[in-house]
Amino acid sequence: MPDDPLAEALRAARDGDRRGFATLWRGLHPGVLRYLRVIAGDHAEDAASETWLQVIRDLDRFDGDLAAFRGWLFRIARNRGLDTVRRRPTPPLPAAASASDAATLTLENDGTAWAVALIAELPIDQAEAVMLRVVIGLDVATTADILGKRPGAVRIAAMRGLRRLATHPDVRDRTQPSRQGV
Amino acid sequence: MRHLRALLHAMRKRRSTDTDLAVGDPGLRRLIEAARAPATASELSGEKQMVDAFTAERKRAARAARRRRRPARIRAVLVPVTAGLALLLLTGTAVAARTGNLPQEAQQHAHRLFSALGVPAPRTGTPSPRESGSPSGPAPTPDLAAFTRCEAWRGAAPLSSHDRRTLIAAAGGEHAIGRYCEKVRQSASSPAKTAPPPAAPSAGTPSPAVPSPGVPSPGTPSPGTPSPAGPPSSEPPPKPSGPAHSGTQPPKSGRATPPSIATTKPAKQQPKATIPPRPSVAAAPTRVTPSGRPS
Repeated sequence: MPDDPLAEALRAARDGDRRGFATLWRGLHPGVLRYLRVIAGDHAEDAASETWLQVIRDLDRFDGDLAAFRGWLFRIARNRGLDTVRRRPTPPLPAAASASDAATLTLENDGTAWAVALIAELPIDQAEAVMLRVVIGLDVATTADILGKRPGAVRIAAMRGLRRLATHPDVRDRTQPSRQGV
Repeated sequence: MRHLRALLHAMRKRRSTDTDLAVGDPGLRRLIEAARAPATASELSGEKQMVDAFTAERKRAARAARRRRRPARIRAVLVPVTAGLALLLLTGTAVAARTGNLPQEAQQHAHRLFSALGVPAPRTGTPSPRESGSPSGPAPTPDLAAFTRCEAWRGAAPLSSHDRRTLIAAAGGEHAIGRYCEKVRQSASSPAKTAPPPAAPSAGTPSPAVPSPGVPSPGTPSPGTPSPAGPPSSEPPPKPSGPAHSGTQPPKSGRATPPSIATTKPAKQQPKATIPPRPSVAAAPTRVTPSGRPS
């Protein structure tokens, strides 16, 4: 149901409608940006801009429904993200620092940034699988296509990622107070 | 670990409908929900910039499409027109070549290249054999102006210097005017078609036509006398001049007539005469004379 307005927006954007494109962007940009945070870190904003500019440029050549568009969008996002990292590699943050970042985010109550930062700490194949499969909600086939893996490998990577996240102290710490609250 | 086991159990159970893999563990569910949370204001801060980029790109694409369409339209008109003109030109040339209407040299080329397709040789391709005696090649047609000039040259009317120059040029020299005018008179007096017929056989069978004027023996017997060498100088002049004209030029006619005989007289008997003269000189006169005398 929530995809219906986006499907409508996609049709309008392909016809050149400015408001249609704005709706599409508002609906999909957060997912793109969060996914890119996982694979491109600090370059996520730049990579997201490049992704959307490429979408704008090639939109009239795209032919498909909203599901196909999401697959196309995240394939572009992945390529732009990896390009950006290759162009301007950033030294990987020490685990302690990122953990403290996550802790800070928790204190600031920015749940989304905290969650994405935790997912980003996973091994990259698990992190990508969790983001695309679980957070964004792409189906296995599309995710496997984007990552260049077999669907079985994607399932296993997502499962292992989630298992690791569940054992993460921050997740468990956060679980306790909420349970106490309930 | 209990949570994890529950999670794995849930994942195994829900493998087919795995949109919510994290259902089993509350902490994990919280994490995933946080990651899926609606957009924050900071995430959407770049909206106007991106929508402007979208609008600009659309405008640029529309302009480019218009620019691309214009040359395509010109090409759509130009290509068929050019092709049609080229086709017309080729067809015209082919038809002209087939009917032998090309300029002489072009026809010669076409004949050499496409004789297998039935392209004929140039019609006036070998004019020299007929008028081997006189250098004035291209004056076989009865020309009223030339006739008038010749009459004037003979003294019938005053000859202007311009006409005189034209006459000399047409004859190929002042000394050749007599011969030239004789030819003009003959072609003018005889039916207009007499000039083309000798051309047709000479072009069709060039080999027999060439030797006949060149070698005197086949040409000279035509007057009818059996002796080949002697008579032509004395006797022939009166005979051909008789049927054509009563008064010919006294000294020059002796030399002028042999070619004229070759052109006019054999023209009528060329189909018969061209073959016999070669095998025997004696056989030729017997056949020529019967048809030659009545005319």
